[in-house]
Amino acid sequence: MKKKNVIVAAVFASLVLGGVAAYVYSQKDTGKTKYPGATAEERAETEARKPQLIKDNEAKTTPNDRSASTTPQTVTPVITSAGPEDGKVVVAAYIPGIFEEGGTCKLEATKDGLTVAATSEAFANVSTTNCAPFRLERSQFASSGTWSVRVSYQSESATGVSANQTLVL
Amino acid sequence: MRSAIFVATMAVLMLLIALLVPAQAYAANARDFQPANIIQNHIFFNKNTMNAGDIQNFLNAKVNDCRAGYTCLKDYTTSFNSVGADAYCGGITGGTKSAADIIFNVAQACDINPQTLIVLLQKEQSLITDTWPTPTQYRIATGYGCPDTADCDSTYYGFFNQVYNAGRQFKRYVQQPHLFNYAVGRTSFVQYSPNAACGGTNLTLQNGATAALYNYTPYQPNAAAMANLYGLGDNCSAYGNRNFWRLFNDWFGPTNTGGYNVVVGPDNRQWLIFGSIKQHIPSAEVKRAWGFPDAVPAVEQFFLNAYAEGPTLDRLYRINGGSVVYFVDAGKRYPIPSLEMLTAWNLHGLPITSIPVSLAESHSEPGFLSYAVKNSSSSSLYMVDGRNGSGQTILRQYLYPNTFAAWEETGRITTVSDEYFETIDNAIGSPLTSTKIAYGGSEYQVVAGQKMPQPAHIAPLYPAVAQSVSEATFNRLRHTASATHLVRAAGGAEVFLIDNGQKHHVLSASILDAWTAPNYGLNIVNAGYLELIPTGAPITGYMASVSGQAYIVNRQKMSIPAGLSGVYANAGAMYSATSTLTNLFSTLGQQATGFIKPVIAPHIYLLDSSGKKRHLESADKAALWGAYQVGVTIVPDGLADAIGAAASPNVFVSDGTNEYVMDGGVKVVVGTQAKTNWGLSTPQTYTDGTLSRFSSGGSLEADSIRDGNLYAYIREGRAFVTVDQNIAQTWAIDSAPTRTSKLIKLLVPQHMLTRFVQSSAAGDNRTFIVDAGNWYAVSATHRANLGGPNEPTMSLDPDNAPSTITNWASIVVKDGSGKHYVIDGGTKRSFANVTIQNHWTGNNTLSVPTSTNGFLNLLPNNGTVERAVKGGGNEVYSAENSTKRWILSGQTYQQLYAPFATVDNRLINALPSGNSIP
Repeated sequence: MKKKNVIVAAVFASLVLGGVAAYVYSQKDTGKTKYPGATAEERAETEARKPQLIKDNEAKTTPNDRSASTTPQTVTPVITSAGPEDGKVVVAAYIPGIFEEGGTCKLEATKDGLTVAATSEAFANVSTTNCAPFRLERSQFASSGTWSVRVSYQSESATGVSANQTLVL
Repeated sequence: MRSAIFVATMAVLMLLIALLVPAQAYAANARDFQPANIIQNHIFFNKNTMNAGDIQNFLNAKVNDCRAGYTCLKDYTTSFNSVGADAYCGGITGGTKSAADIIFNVAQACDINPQTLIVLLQKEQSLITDTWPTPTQYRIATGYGCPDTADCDSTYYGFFNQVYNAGRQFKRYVQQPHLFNYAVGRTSFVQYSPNAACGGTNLTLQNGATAALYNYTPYQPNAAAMANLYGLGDNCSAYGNRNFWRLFNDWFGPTNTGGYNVVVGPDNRQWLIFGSIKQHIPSAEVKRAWGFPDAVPAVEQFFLNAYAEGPTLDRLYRINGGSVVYFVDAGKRYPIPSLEMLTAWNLHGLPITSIPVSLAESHSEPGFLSYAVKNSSSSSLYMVDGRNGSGQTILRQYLYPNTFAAWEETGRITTVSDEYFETIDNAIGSPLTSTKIAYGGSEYQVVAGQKMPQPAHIAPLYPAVAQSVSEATFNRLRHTASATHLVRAAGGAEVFLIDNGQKHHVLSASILDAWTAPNYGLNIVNAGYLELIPTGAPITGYMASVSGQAYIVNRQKMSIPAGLSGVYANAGAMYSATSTLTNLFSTLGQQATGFIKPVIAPHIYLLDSSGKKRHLESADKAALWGAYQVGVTIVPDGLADAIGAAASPNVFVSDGTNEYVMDGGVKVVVGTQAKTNWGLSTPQTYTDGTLSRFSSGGSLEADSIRDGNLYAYIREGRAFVTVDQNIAQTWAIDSAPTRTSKLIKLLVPQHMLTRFVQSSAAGDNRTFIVDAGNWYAVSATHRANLGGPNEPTMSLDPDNAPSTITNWASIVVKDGSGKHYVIDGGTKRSFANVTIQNHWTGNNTLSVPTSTNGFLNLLPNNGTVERAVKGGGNEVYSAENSTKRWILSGQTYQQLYAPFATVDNRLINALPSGNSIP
């Protein structure tokens, strides 16, 4: 009987110590909030993505000979919007696939043989190159109706022109 | 042992709690994804969501077992150089720091939610959950400077660089929105993929945070990507913004809590933004009123320009243009039940914002706005009383709890923040002490949100001087029936009469009925209203006195003459009223008398001077006491019931000195002989002065009285009465003094007065005939001839005869004019000529008594008489000198006496016999 009591007491003592230690440990961080761990789904997704991620990272971080190339690469600017805004005519565009400063964007709007043109500076933005949005006076457009616009890009390393978009005034 | 078990159990429980309780229990649902509104500004830019410890905890939680040989983000440290502050972010001190610290530092420096950065790190490089991250993943941790189809820009390599530049760029997007493609309110074509052939849609972006996400990663998920939220879509799927949204929702809760944002512009002006509207938040006070957080994200002017400017935010709003207007304070909203409430609060004219449900739902709703207001740190309770001439809100303290209870329909109190209270407590008016108010030259009683017009003739009933109120308060009090002198609390049983500034409990329904004046109904009030009115003596009766003038009150008022006011005061409770109260009751034309009658019961009472009621059992008695002459006062049944009763009045009364009978309200002195003849013994004595209220006049007739055609001869405590004037003449009472016969009815037994009297004396069998008051003893034959044997005969002691009684012996009588008659068996015959009369009277030598006309009238005319008479027999007599002489010879008769008259045998019998005539 005595032996059994001793064993039971020891089991409880260890539980007490373990529980207290775990509780104290959990309280040691300065943060107050407890967060759940990653779910099985998140872990699986992470692992599933990992091969492609490594492959992409490898490709993007291994220097290639692009900077040494003498012929500018061809890019295709994307017009994201074209329309009146705050009394002006605003056209926004970016150039995917390049991340650089110093290029120039050029806008051409045509309707009935008339052309309205403007330029803006391009600048790097995270994963693309952004044309500072074109802001033209409404008066530059001789008539209402549907204009055709396109944006071209020119820099030392890249050049290209977007597809035509409509601009309704 | 038991305590050890307990401790161990508790320790295990603590462990389980520490390990198992999650901070978030929210998961993204694809249907909630709004591509134009991925995350709201106030979430995206809230830098205060996590401290460095929280971030570390989070990173720890997400990686349980980092693969050996790898450094997971939770353990990652890196060295970097300090960066100075610029237009977008504050400076960050360099050194060797943990990933958690770097995330926290950048969040603080660039006003970005650290959760945004955490999600960004996962979205770009899986760094949060990766258990074996490679150095390259850290190097381009946020994808900054990495084009989709080209090499990354090594300028931005490194974990700190990546996090810092990403945070800075996000800030730049909202500070310089005019430089970037995706902007709030602008409709942009957003592709599904870098492959333009995959297409996209036009999106009108709803907020700066969402625009920032698209400026950072210019693709939206296509349907395939959204259909498989935790996996892959198709060849045209891009996952960046989908994963950002999904991860944020899963880890940190909803990214769209209601379609509104609070932001600060470049000029430090703060704005509420929702839909396409921005509204200026003019002050920190208004901001706190709406419950917005202190810290709000900064935005660029362009961001703001994309929104139309609505009215400057104040404290009023509607939900989605609904009809209910809410007042907002300390993050709570109060529906405003009426325009009057709006005006009382001096909120009328303030702009009312229409807000989305989501914003409204952030406000708790303690209840309707009320007219009673207090601030949270004080117990003083005020009423909002509109605005003064300077536009300030007027507050009036409800000085007592009962003032509040009396005034307001509900016990609702709006507890506003101290901050708001300080803006409205600059014009404290006089405290409200009562329910009496004045506005526009008129006075009102206020109760339960209503105003009862209080006409000038009512106002003095109520306590206190009227207090002025504002137009707003006047208008918000609903108009109701005019104040009167009677009130009862709704649901209460007790009715009170208001008089002299006090309330007087009306003790019974019948008393209430009496005190109800036409056109002055009962006002239903509340308990607080009653409590404000001091309590006076209860109303226990039906009478009031004002300045010495007493009244009986019974829906009208009847004056009690001064001489009776003491009598009535003895009879019942006399409430000492104000003239204001008694003036509510119209005054009856007649005055109260000493005789009362309840409304319903037919009883008439003498009210004696002790204040006792004495029942006049008959109309005759009431008449003798003069009730009809002075009038009977109708009093409320309750009053009559409350008056103590005493013995019914007698007609024969005494005031302790003199004895009287009452006749028509006049005391008639009862002399000794009258008392004897009327048989009166013991009078009812009044020692309380009751009789002094009656005038005295005359003495009671001892002998006889006349009342119209009724004649009464009073003897031996009896009244011998007749309506036959002839009988009256025989008794010589046809000219008796007039006196009401009611006295006879009430005082003495009545007998018939007759011309014959039978002696009532013992042993005296005589019968008398009476004429001109004289008694004559009559023999049987004379009585028969007078017509008496079958006539009613009164019985009386001959002592009552006025003079010596003689015997009746007459056959021939005469009237006052000397006309003679023969009495013939109860009739009378006249003489056709003097010869016949001389024959009967011995040539006028016979003693012929003079009879009264009444006596004669009682003997019907029976034609004439002759010298000779013949009865029922064959004998013919000569009536010579009123004797009868038998005429024996027919020849004698024919020669000397014919014709004869046929007469009654009773006359024949009454005529004394003389010698026969041969």
